[in-house]
Amino acid sequence: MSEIVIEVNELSKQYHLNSEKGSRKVTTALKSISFEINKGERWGIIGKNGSGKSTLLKMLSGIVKPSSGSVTLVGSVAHILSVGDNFIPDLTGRENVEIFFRLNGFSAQEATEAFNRAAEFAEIGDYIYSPVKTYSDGMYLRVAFSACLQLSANILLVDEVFNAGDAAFREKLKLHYNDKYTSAETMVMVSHNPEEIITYCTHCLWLENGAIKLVGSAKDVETAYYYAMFKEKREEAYKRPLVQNADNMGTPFVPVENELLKVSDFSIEAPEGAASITYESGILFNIDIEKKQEHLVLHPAIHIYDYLMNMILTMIPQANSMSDSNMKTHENTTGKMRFTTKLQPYILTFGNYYAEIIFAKNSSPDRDFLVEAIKAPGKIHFEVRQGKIYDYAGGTNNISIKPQCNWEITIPDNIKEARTN
Amino acid sequence: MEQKNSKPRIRVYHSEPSSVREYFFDFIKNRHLLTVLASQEIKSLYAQTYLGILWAVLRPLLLTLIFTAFFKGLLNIKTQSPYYLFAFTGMISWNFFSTIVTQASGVMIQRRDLIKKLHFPKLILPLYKIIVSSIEAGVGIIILIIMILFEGIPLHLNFIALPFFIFLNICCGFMLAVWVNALSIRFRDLTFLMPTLIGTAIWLTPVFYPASLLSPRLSTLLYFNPMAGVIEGYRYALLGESFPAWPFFISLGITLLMTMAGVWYLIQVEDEIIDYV
Repeated sequence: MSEIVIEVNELSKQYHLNSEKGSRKVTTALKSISFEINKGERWGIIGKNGSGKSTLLKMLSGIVKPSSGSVTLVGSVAHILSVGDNFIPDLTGRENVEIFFRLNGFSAQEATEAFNRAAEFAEIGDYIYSPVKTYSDGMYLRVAFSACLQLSANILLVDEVFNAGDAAFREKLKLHYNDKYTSAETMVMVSHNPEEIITYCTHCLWLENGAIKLVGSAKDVETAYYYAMFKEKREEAYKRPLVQNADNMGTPFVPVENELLKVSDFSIEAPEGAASITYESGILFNIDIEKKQEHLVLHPAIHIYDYLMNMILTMIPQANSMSDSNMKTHENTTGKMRFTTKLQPYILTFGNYYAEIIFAKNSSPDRDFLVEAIKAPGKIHFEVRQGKIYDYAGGTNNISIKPQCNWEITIPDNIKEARTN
Repeated sequence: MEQKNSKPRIRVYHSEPSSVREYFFDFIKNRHLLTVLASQEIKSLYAQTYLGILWAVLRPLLLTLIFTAFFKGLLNIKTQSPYYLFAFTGMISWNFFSTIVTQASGVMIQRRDLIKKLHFPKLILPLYKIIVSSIEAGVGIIILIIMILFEGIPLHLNFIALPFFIFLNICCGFMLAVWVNALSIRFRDLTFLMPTLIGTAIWLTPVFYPASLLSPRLSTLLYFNPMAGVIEGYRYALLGESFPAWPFFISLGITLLMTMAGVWYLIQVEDEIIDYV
């Protein structure tokens, strides 16, 4: 039979903040949320910064008073809200750790016993008897984490505390905290780290703007959250450049001309058969020009920029374009003509890009040296939409160029044989 | 390690402010914080000094020496007992008061680390500062008594009144500290104003001069400063001087009332503290 140990009932919190002008502004951190946690469940709380996660945890631990609603907790409570914040620099590690335990409700004797365990775990030897101001950052964290590890109660409240210490100690910590968290009778943990939530928690609560967005099994909620954040990140990236509008960004193409040629139009479209430009479709670029001179070979190039205006690739004719016979077909003609090229599928991922045109020409008829013939002044915005293929990019979200590569797998013969045998 | 209780502890946090009764029980439950914080403070205050807690005596003693040279040497003020004892008694009492006010009135901001990490009745904070100040003052009073005996002045029966005046001394400091704490939640400026006011108020208190030095009308006014009566009271108990004049009891009554009102007000605004520190 399940037994409710934490009951949150229509909990709300408003903060009254003094604004610069002296008037008092009310911000709502939590909007009437309710949930129940049964004995034996380990809950993760996720959400963006400012979504109310920490406020909720602080209300569970009684530090922040609700504006309305209530919290009921059954059993003893320990909280790991921060590590080493209350240490006093002039006191020794031992004194600080013992005070830490006393503040957390240990009796003097319990505090001494817990100190002995913490000191053993921290492995900093006699330094534990020196003032903590003499510690290195690493030692400081070792002591603080070791102290937190000794806290135990029916209900464990944990704010995100990892990401510290040297690698070896962190591994050791992870191992012990792993035991601690998975053996906790009931736990509520705030974290940004999806791995932590999935490893330690059975349930997950997703807060957005102070309200519950989703509650469910840790894996389901964390996955939904992760994809939503991923999408948002991409959409954010997608919106960014349109606001800046520097260097004619996002404006229609403006024709440009000089004595050699006129670039009259530039269009970017999805190749035939594709409804829109996606990662799978590839991209078609058309440049319409009017050529004014004979005995001139134009060498087109399209520079592609990402949303942060970093040039990420350049599309030029074949490497040795000056001897490219195909390019030479227009050498002795003038008038309207169209240059078309296609960017292969599976190169540019979902997002916003800009394209820029440059034409080059030979510096002199007898030399294979290119100089600029004309450059279009603006950059043309285009977008690559989300296609059918899910944008998994090896764990990173903001990668622009993602060519598909063939991977070959080589298995040593002796292993292959062992398998077949 | 956790003891298996048949009845698990149930905590309920809700939006209503706690009643004085609830607050009192919460205070009792967290009383260990008083000693933990006070001992932490004493340790860290005097950590890595050679003289340690003796500084609590040396500070008023040095001031007394300076003022003795000034008042006795230049102005030749007449007092019932030797001037340096007269002044040192005043200084110990005043120092006790001003330490409580300055230390305890900034404590909410000083210990915001605790307020943000732990649930406990905030009244504990000014009170633990009072414990720290009392220990320091206690050392001072012992040294003072030794000096008095060394001078050859016998202890009178008046001595039994000393705890009463020590209690009043604490009340005066606590009253101001509680109000400053409660009000400085909204008006942070107060925490800056207080040390200046205290520095000025020493001249409106008979620390270095006897109240009898003033005209009768002025000395009546002087006694509306509760610390005037407290300091004269110390001299009455320790040096066998005359008892403070009657207007002292008016300021005494006001002080006690204001202390209780301050505590009540602090309990009312308790929950807002975390939003402001």
